[in-house]
Amino acid sequence: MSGGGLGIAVGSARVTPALLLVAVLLSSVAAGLMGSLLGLGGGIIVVPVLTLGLGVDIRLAIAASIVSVVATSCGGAARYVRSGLANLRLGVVLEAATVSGALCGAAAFGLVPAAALFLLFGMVLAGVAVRMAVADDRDRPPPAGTPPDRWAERLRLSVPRSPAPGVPPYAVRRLGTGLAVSYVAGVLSGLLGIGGGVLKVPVMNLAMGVPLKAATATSNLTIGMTASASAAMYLARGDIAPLLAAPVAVGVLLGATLGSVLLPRLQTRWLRRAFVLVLLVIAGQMIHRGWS
Amino acid sequence: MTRRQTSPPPGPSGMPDPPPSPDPSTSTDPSASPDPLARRVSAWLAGGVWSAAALLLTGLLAWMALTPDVWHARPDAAGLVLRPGLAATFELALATAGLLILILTPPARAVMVMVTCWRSGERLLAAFSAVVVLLLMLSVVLGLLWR
Repeated sequence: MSGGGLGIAVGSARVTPALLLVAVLLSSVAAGLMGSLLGLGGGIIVVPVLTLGLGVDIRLAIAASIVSVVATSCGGAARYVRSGLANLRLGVVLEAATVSGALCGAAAFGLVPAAALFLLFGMVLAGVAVRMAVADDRDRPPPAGTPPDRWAERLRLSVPRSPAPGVPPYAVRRLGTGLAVSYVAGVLSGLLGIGGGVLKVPVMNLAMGVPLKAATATSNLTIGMTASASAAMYLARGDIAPLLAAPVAVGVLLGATLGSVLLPRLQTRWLRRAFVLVLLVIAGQMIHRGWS
Repeated sequence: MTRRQTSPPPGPSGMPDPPPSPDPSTSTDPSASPDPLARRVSAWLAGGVWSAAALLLTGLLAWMALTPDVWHARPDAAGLVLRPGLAATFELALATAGLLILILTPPARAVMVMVTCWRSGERLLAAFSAVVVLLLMLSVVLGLLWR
C-alpha cells in the first residue's frame, strides 16, 4: 500500500493495479458486511469507502456501486420471495415509478458535476444517519382514517393473510404517495448509485401501511430492478470500468451474505448507534469535498 | 412456505375478505410463496447472482494471472491496467459477461412476472410489468445513444 495509508492515489504509480484490486475487494466486503448488519444497502457505504478511502473517482465509484446494489438485491431477494415476505405485486407496481426515476437520475448523472455529486451524497448520508438515530424500527399502525387504496384493491396489492410469522396481514393505502416517493428514490438511485431503500422503506411502512419487515423485504426486491435500469444505462454509456465494478460487486455480495449469517447472532443496536457517528463524519467529509 | 392456511388473525379496518385457501398446485398469485412464480423468480434470482459472481471472479483471477506486470505496472485513470490484445479481451469479456448476467437478472424477473400475470388474466398488473420491462430496455437504448 502507498505511504499515505489509505490515501491511495488512483491513476498514479503510488499503488499497483493488483494492490488496488485487493484493497477494493476487501473494502467492498467490509462495506457489504456493515451494510447488512446495519440494515443499509451496500451502496451507501461503498461509495464513501471508494472515494474518500481509496481515492477512486466518484463517477467510477457510483457506477461500480450501482452494480453491487443489483448483486445484493438479487442475493437477498431470492430468500424474501421464496418465503413470501416480499410483496411481489406491490414491488412491480412501485417499480414502474422507481425505474422511471432511475432513468432520469442516470441520465442526469452524465451532466451533474462531481462536486455536486459529493454534496448530494453527503446530504443523503446525513439524512440516513439522522434516521438511524431516531428510528426505533417498530411497526406503526396503519394511517388513521385512510381507507385502502382503490387501485391497490384492483391490483390486489393487499395481503389478507399473514405473509410470514410475526408479520400481520395488511391493506395497502396511499398508492399515489408511494409512487411519488418511489420516483424520487429512483432518481437518487440513478444519480448516486444507492438502492433507494432509504426512502422506500419509510414510505411503505409509514404512509402505505405495509409492516416494516414486509416493506424491507419488498424494498430489497425492488432496488435490484431500479439499480438494473441505471446500471444498464451506465454500462451502455461506457461509465462502468468492469475490472473495478467486478471486485466491488463480488465483495459487497460476499460481505452482505456474511452479514446475513452473522445478523441473528449479534446485538446490532449499539453497533447502529455507534455507526451513526461514523456516518455523520463521513457525510461531513463528503460535503466538505464537494464544497471545496 | 410459511403462509398460513388456517383462519387469519383480524387485520386493520378495511381489510378485504381473505380469498379461499389457495391450492399451491393451481395458484397464480405472484405474491404468494406457494405460487410457482415466486419459486421460479426466487430460483432465477439466486442462480443469476451466483453465476454472475462466479464469472466476475474468474475474470478478475484471469486478469491477475495473465497480466505479467500487474504488481508493478503504472495504472490507468481507473487505477487498473487495460492492455491491448487477446488476453485483455478475454478477461474483460469474462468480467463484462458477469456484469451483464447480473444486470439482466432483475429484468428477466420482470418479464417472468409479466408473462405469468398475462396468462392468469391479470392484465392490469401485466401492464405495469410491461412498463417496467420497456423502461429497462429504454435505459439500454438511451445509454447507447449517449455513448
